[in-house]
Amino acid sequence: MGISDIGDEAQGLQGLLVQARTGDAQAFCRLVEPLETRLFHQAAALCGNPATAEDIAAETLVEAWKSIARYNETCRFTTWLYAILLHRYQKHLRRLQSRPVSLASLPEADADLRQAAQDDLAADDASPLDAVLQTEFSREIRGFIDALDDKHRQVVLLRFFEEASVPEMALLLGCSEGTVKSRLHHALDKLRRMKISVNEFNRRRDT
Amino acid sequence: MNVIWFMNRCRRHQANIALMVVDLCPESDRRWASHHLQHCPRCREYFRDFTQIGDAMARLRKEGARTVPGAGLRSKWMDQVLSDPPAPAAEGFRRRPGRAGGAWFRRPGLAWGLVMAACVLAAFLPGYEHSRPAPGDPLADAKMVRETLGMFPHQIRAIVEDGHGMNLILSDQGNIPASAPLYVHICDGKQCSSFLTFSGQEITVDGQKLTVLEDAQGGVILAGNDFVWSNANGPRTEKHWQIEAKNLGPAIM
Repeated sequence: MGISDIGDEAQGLQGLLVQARTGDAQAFCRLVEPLETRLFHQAAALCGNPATAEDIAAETLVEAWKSIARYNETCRFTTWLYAILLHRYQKHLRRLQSRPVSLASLPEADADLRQAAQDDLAADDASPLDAVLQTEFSREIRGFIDALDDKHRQVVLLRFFEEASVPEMALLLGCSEGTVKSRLHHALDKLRRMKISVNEFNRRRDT
Repeated sequence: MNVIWFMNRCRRHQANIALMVVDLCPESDRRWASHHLQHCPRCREYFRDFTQIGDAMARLRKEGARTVPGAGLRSKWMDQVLSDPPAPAAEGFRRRPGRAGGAWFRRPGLAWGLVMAACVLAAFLPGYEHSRPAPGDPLADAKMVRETLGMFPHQIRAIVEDGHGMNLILSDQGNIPASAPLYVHICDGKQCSSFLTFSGQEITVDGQKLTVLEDAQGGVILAGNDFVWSNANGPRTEKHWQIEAKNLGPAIM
């Protein structure tokens, strides 16, 4: 594991990593520049907002620079970066949550604004109705993922968006491989139960 | 057929079915699970639901990959990296070995915080009780709620106000997942309860557990064992309860 592979390119990356660890900022920039867009795409998949995704991706790279000495090559470099990105995303969620709340007559969430703020996405090869249903569920699943607790959200996102292996996740999260598998199962089960609840509501609404 | 034996078999396979969907199921377990799926419609439904979730995650990933970063992304991070030297990282993503899990009572800092919170609440209560406005006035609790949330921004599962007073329910399993705060008010003709909670949390009313969810349109859904309620249709009665709910939403963020 780690970014050490056979080949000149890999040796170049390894060299950049070694230099970055000694405090060479230019080496770090050359190391992560090719990964910038990938990180941005991963952040965009999480939050659904390009501006927020830029902020999260940028914060991730800055934090990676500050923590570069702690990368010990026990997992892929991209997985390590994604773990930092998840951490930044969780902080972003908590920032949204932690503002003081009043039970006073605050305006309800503006449904029109929410709708306008979300991207329209057509499914690639589905009927128009299926495309709408799929898009709707994709938006819902983002909310369901945000509703998971941290430990379940981490394993779901590491597996689906970073394709991290069980050993990588176990090392990153400081738990056993059995715990990773158990958390994945419970996280998917929670997502399933949330989906069932919303489907049941939709069924009742439509009948 | 022994139903309990059958259900236990299903439970064992359902863990493997989840791992099949994420391509992490060992081959031998996959064969057993696949064989079980041929004979168990309930687990086939389970597999179908998990597959739909996996497909939705893949669509989210594709959606993210279609998003184009702005021209300013590079300078957002590079300028800071080039100007700041690397520093010892703050407490990282990974829990240190030997450190206890998120149980709040094992954290001395949080324990002291709770003591302080109790003192603050005790200081508030005499004045609060003396000046308590008419029951059901949501404005009455805004200041206390605001200050309480400010003390424990990620730890609060729910704030409950009912006939027994106001109670703060903290998580003992680590940070509460973030969502917009959701306000729920339930009356059963005799008394009313108000909750401030977050999507994915459970509240208990008349002994029944209800899951509170935020839907894709920012509406509030309550899901019980045998009913599902949404605020999309305005305040209305479900079972013998009059229910109102409100998403306090991004307007307050």
